[in-house]
Order: sequence, then C-alpha cells, then structure tokens
Amino acid sequence: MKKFNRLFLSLLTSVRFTVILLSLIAIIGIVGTFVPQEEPPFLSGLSRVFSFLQFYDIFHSFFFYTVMGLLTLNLVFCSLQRFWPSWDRFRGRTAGKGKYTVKKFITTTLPFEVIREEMISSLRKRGFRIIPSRADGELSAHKGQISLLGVYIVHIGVVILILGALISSLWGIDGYVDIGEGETVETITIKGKEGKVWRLPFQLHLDRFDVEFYENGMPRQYKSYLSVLKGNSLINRGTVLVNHPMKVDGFNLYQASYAQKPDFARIEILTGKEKVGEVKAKEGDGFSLPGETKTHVFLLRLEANFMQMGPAAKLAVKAPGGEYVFWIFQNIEEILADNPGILKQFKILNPSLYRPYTFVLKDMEARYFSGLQVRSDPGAPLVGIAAIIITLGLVIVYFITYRYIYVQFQPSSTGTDIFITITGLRNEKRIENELTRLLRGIQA
Amino acid sequence: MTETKILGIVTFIYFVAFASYLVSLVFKSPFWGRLATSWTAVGFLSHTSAFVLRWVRSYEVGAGHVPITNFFESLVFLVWTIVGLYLLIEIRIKNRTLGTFVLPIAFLIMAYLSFSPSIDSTIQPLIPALQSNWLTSHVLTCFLAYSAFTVAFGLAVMYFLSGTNYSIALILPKQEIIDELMYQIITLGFVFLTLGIFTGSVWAHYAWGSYWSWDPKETWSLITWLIYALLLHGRLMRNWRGKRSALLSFIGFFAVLFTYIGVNFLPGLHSYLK
Repeated sequence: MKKFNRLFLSLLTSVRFTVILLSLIAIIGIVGTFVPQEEPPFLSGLSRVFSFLQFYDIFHSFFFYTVMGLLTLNLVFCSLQRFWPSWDRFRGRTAGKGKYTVKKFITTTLPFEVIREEMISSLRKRGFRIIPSRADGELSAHKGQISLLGVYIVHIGVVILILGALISSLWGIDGYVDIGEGETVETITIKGKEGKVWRLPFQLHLDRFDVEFYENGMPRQYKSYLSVLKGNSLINRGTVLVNHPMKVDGFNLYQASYAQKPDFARIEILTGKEKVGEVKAKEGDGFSLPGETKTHVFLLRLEANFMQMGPAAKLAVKAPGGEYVFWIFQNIEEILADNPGILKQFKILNPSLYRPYTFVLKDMEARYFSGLQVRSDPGAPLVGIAAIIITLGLVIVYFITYRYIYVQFQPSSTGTDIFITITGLRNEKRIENELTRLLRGIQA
Repeated sequence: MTETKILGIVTFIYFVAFASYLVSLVFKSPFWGRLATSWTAVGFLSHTSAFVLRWVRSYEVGAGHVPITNFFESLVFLVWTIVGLYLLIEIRIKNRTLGTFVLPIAFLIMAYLSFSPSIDSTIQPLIPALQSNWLTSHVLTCFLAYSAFTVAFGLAVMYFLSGTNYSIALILPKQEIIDELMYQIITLGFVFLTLGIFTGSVWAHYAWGSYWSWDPKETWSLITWLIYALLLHGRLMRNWRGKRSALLSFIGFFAVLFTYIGVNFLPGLHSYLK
C-alpha cells in the first residue's frame, strides 16, 4: 500500500503525466466531435460498443470526469511542489535563477562605497528592488519578480475553472420551452434527457411576440414580451431578445428560436356545390355535421406546409359505418391543376371521401411560438472569475520579465573590481541591453 | 473601385512581395529585401483600405457591421492580421527571411478567395445571434491567435529546412534563433487564443445561454489550446526545444486549420461561417 501511495504521488507530481492527461483530453475532444453526441434509438454492433464506452455523451462520461479529476490533482501537486522555491526567490531569500545569464567584469577607479551607492541608485532608476544582503561586498536586486508567481496564478485559475464547470454540470438546469402567444407555461423540457419535464418555480406568460425582417427575408431580430407570475401575482415583466437574456429568480431566459404554427382552421362543409356549414376548429377539436347526430368530425392535425403543398388539415370522420381519415388542402385547386387524377389515386387526399360531404380548408390562423431556453447555471460566476484570474496570470507570466542581478565588489589597488551577473528567463539579447543601460547610468 | 477589385490587386501584390523576398533570400540581396518589404507594406495598406471600404459600404446597403461575419470576410481579415503581424515582426527582428515563408500563405489564401466559386463575397446583414458587442473582440482575439500560429507554422517550416543538408539551409538563420522566435510568437498566439475562448464563452453565455456547449468549434479550439499548452509546458519543464517544438507547432497549425475551416463540415452552433 505504501508503495502504491508513493507511486501515485510520483505520478501526480510528474509533468509526463500532465502530457498524457492533456493528450487524453484532446483525444476525447476529437471523439466527441466525430461521434454524434446523441445516442441513436437502435443499437447494433459498433453503436453498442460506443454506447457502452459512453461515446455518445463523452463529455459527461465517467472517463472524462476521471481524466479531469486527475488533471486537477496533477495541477495542484505539480504547482505545490514547485511553489516554495519560487516563493523564496520572489521574496529575495534565494538567488534568482534564469535560462539566460550574462556575466561582466568591470574595473573602476572609484572607491567601493561610492560605486556601490551609484550602482544602487542606477538599479532603482531602472525599476529594480534591492534585496537586503548581509555582506557588504555584494549586492543583489531583482525586478518583475511577480512573474515568478504568474504560473501559479494561472493554475489556480484553471482549478477554479474546472470546479465551476463541475458545479455547472452537476447542479445546472438546462431546458427549453415553446410558448404560444397568449399562453402560460410552468414546465420546461430538460435537454438531452429524453423529454424529462421539470417544473419551474414560476409561470411564464407570453404576452406578445415580434419578428422583424430584413428586405431579403432574413430575420433581423425577434423579441418575446414575457410576464412572470407566481401563483396569481405578477412578479416580473420584461423582454427577451437574442443576445439579451432576462433574469428571473435565479434562472436565465434566452431567446433561442421561434416558429409560426397554425392554430385555428376555418373549414367549409359542402354537399355537392351547396355550402351547408362552416366551423372554426383547432387541433383536437371535434364537431358534428349539420343534420347528422351520430357522425363526428375530428381535426387531427394542422400543418402550415404539408409536403410542400401548402396549408393542410387532417380530418377523421367517425360515422356509424366506419372511420374515414383524409387530408384537405387550402390550395386544392393548384394541386389538382398540377397533378390531375391525384384524388382518385390517393384516397387519403380526397376531400369528398365521406359522401355526400366535401370539406374545404378556407384558411388558417397562425400563431407565433417563442422557443425559449431556460437555464440556471450556478457554476457560471465561478467560471467568470476563473477566466479573469487566468488572463491576469498569463499577462504576468508572458508580459512581465523577471531579472535578477548579483554584483560583487572587490577593492583593488587602483579602485574597485566589479563582477556582475544578470539573469533572466527569456531572451539573452534583452538581458544584455538591460545591463548596458544600467552601466550607462553609472558612467553618467 | 469596389473592395473586391482592390483585394484582387492585393493578391497580386502579395505574390510580387513573396517573389521579391525569395530573390532577396537566394541572392542575399538587401535591395530586393527592401523592395519586398515595400511591396508588403503597399499590399497591407491597400488591404486595409479594402477592409475599411467594405465596412463603409456595408452601411450603404443597410447591413452596417464590421466586415468579419462570414467566411469570405473572415479570410480577408485573417490574411490582414497575418501580414500585419509579419510586418511587426520584421520591423522588430530586422530580418527578412521569414517573409519568404509567410507571404506565400497570405497569397495562397487570397488567391483561393478570388478563384473559389463556392465563396460568397456579397455583404449580408447580421443574423440576430451575431448582433452583439462581443463579436468584434471575439473575432479579433481569435484571429490574432490564428495569425500568430500561422507565422509560427512558417517558422517551423524554416526550422526543418534549416536543419537539412540542402543548400537552402546555408542561407537560413540558425535553428536556435528560429526556435526562440517561434516560441515567442506561440506565446503571443496562446495568450490571444485564451482571450478568444474567454470572450467567446462570455458571448455564448449571453447568446446561447451556455458558456460552453461542446460545439465542434469550441471543442477544437480547446484541442488547439491543449496542443500549444503542451508545447509551452514541454519547453519550460522538460526542455523540449527544436525538433519537438517545431513538430508541435506543425500539429498545432493543423488543429488551427481544423478549428477554423474543418469544423464547418460538422453540424454545430457556429454554422453561419459556412
């Protein structure tokens, strides 16, 4: 067990392990983009294997959570292991270390005390912080030392980000709802969970829906006017537009889509050429025929554009002698002109199927339905904070340069000998330039 | 003159600039080098004017938006950032070798734009999802990242050529210098990609109701980010220099290409870029 613990710890502090984990996440990402993230209704062969491996919901799979968990641990352990040496350097307790070092030896006629003061003031002018030292004959200073801590800031940010994402995926609610103009809803359908319904702690009423179009017919903007009710009292009222969500009671409402769906149909009933009645009905409604009490007609479906043939309604006539189901079309004359004989060919398209009546679809009243996405995401604020921390950390790491300088003074017969070592993390040339500027400051 | 005509001329100028860089490299001629830089600068300025012109014209046709909202416009903008970034680097490092490797990429993309019949260059009004203040900052940061990675790819090619036994190796800078420059450019690209992903997330939070939806473009931007993160960590922690860095820069560039173009063939939320 002890051996295992030690092995696990060495794995967690290993950068090679980080490389493996990062590669695994990349591979999971590749799988997740090429395998559709929705399980097919029927499984067979390969799809059964994919389903077993959770490939159809790979970003919520056990494997993915495990990899992310290990990455978080690896990040924390690696950072902890390397943090204290960086901290000591940041505080000036240990000598700076860098990839690039430039050494220089100069000699001057000035006495030690004078050149030392000159050096200190020149370093200060260039933005260096003098590190107090015990010995008189040496001097050390650094600047941009916050850069040493930047990487830990980034890593803290990444850990917070993963934590926020975890909270989002565990406790977030992501659903959608279609509301017709004038309708009230209080449940949403949860995404990706096969029609699982979730009850909202409030009711949503769509007062009005507006769409504006460009000249070429593209939608310019669409807008839902919503009232939010709790019990019978209005608690909020507002508009939701694409890119402008509305906040209600911990939930965000987003304008996702819209549709125009037929609502009511006006149907004329004829016997021969003579009009004997007219009804206005919506889906599911039933009505009886004039003069017949035992026969009922039901409006089964309304379609704004059925099979490219325009507005259509599906009727079922339930008569004592049997049931007749057929479609009627608003543009029946054009359809007949284009396809003569189609009524004889397909019974289901014949509006005179139930004799002696003929049903005529006069028109439809369409209604707008607003597609709203309803989300509650308790992880989002944490993710936002993480993004700010990571950005800040990256700027500190890459745009602030760390320099450490160490100077030794040695009194000589003619004045003072000076040994200078300057070190930094990036770019030899720039370190040299820094040194040149420092010395120029002294000579002046 | 319409901006598409100007862009046609710009394409030609970039080709001339590339040829001049090549001549200057092969014959070690500073004169041709200065000529190449001048052509690049002229091309860049004309490119800028075409960009501005299209922006202005978009108001005339009633669309009114920064021209970075479809595939055509985004490619034009990408080349603009690539050439701009290259010019900055040239001024900073005072070396023109890189031009031979970056300008052909700029030229090829521009040529593809003018000759591909499938690319729609008309100005379209914005669909509701794109009407956001985050559009500019998101596209700008992402494209600065893309262009930095493109330049880094050019440097990776240079790196491999410089290591060969062919005579071209003799006229290229030393591998260590290329390696260092590549690292710096990738650093820049990495920071911008991070910002691009974050600005995109904020925007997605307001537009789609979710800061991250594993949309193919999002996923591939993360893959790209991971590849360059790997490169940076390998370099700092395990001293992966030279060949490994250049190889990862190669792979990273293909991830960039896939993020930018490849995912358009997969269904997803970023589909308006088709």
